[in-house]
Amino acid sequence: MQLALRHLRAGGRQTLLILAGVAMAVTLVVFISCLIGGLQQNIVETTTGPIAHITLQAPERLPRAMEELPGRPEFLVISDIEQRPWQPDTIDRCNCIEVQLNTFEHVKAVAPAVTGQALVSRAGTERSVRVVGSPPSGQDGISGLQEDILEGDYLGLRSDEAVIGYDLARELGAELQDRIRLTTGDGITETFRLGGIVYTGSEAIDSSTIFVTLRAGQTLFATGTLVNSFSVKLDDPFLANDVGDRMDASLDLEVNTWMRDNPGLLVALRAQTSSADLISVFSLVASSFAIASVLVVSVLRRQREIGILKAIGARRRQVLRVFTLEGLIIGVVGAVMGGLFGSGLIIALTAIERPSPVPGVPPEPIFPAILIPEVIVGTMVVAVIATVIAAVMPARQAAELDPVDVIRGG
Amino acid sequence: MAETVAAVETVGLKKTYFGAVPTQVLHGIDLRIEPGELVSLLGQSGSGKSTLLNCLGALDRPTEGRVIVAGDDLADLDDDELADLRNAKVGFIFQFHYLQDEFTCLENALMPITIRSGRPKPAEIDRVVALLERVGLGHRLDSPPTQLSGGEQQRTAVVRALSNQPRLVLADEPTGNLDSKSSAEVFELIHEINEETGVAFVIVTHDDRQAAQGDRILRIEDGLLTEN
Repeated sequence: MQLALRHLRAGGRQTLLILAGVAMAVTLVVFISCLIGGLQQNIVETTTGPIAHITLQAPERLPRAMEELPGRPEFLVISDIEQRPWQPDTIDRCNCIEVQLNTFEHVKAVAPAVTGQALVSRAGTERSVRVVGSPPSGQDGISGLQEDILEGDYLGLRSDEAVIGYDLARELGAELQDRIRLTTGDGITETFRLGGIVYTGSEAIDSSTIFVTLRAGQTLFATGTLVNSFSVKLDDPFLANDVGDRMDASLDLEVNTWMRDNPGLLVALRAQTSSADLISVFSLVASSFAIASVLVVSVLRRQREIGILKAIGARRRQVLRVFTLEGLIIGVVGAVMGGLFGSGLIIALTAIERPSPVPGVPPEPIFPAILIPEVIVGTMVVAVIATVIAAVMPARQAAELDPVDVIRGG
Repeated sequence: MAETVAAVETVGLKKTYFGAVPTQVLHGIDLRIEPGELVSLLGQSGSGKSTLLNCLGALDRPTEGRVIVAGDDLADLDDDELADLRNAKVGFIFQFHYLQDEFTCLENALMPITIRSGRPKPAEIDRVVALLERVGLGHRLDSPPTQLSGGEQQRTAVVRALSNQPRLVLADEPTGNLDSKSSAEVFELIHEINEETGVAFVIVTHDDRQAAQGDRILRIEDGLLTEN
């Protein structure tokens, strides 16, 4: 141990160089992993934060051929064809299903809802929107609207009030307490007062969704006391397909997940992760080679000392231990330095903020990187292992030295 | 009367190097060096004296014949046991001092003890300090080798060879790198220590005058030993 430490101290600039190599590699890996990890978490949060991870609807009824209809008359005269406006079918046994959904593992929140398309109009401006009629307490567990509200209140929403996205409010020129009118495909029209304006960061919600109470939704879409969908939030968004499949197997409902709705996003996330992993592996391998080569040179330089140590009784294993220990010390010190430096860079980077385009929303970091402790510790551990492995070859070379050759060489 | 154990003994020692062309360097050497003896080994370069010294010091194994160091037959020992034997029973002094620059004079002298037990005991440190004082390095204990003169470096190497209280010290031209004054000092020191400690010494030298001061002079020629 003493010999290893003294060698390293005597190595001076060379030791600093190897340490810098290890530290740089660890810094690079920590920086890239935390940056990409943060970006991904940000993308996933923005994408899945305000929406349901799993949506359940009544299965779509397919039109059946006339001949299949039970008790069909012998002759049928079609006098008029009417286009049925599409709205999802209602679900029976609502309460029963809500209770059942809550029993699935990883389910964080369940909200029954009546959803459908409608036309919103105010002062001559019309927009096509998606209306979500749901109890605010339940829907808040899905979308976290109360947290994102800019003006007004969501949890205290009354049945004649609606909450709309910031972009939609701007398009309509609507302000709090203004009246807006919703018209469904079935021709039902209701007027609502603007009870809140919300900014979630999700384009779909901020520019084209209107939230009302469940009661209001049921009136608007004439579903009586029934609902037409359930929204489910999980504790881990990436389990949506697994949990969704289990729900699909036990419920007679059509199950959809955010992951199946956004296949492109998942492919992009996966590609990002693999490129980050690839960069990490390459930088660790490159630094291992650099460490190995510097240590090989160090062994060559010390051949005489090693030969003499062996001549005066150092066993093969002792020499092996000295040089492996040198690798270990370099690995540990370099990894700690790199871990600290990488973390510092990430902290410095996240401090750079850009003001939000929406008034009232706090500024956001330009690079939404996050410190991922398991990544940082994992990288440091891998770096230490890689350095020790890199040190083993030169250590073997040192241990195999024949003192006679060294002494004869003069 | 029981026969005393020789410091080192060889029986029919032969050594061949199997390179591209096999070269026999030692052609059957029978030798016995008693404890406390100081033997001078003379020979032309290439005559095989370093090879003989390496075999006597358990650095190299004979191709044929036996080498017995302080009672231990090298043929019975594996590589680790050979290393232990070198550490405990043999001291080496080379033409160059080969001290470790990262350690002080005292730490270098303690190196064989450190290799054996990891951490020298206070009594061992006292003994080595006394030896360093004996060779005139009492004021240099904490100096690194780079701050020592050539003579001081080689005297440190002499103490290192003696620090584990070996039975045999092998010196391969120990003064070859020194000026004549330092050379004479180191040589005289070896003689004094030989007399004081009773450790057997084998000294390879080119200098006939130095050789003449030994108890015995062995001459090696073409791998065969003759005694003057």
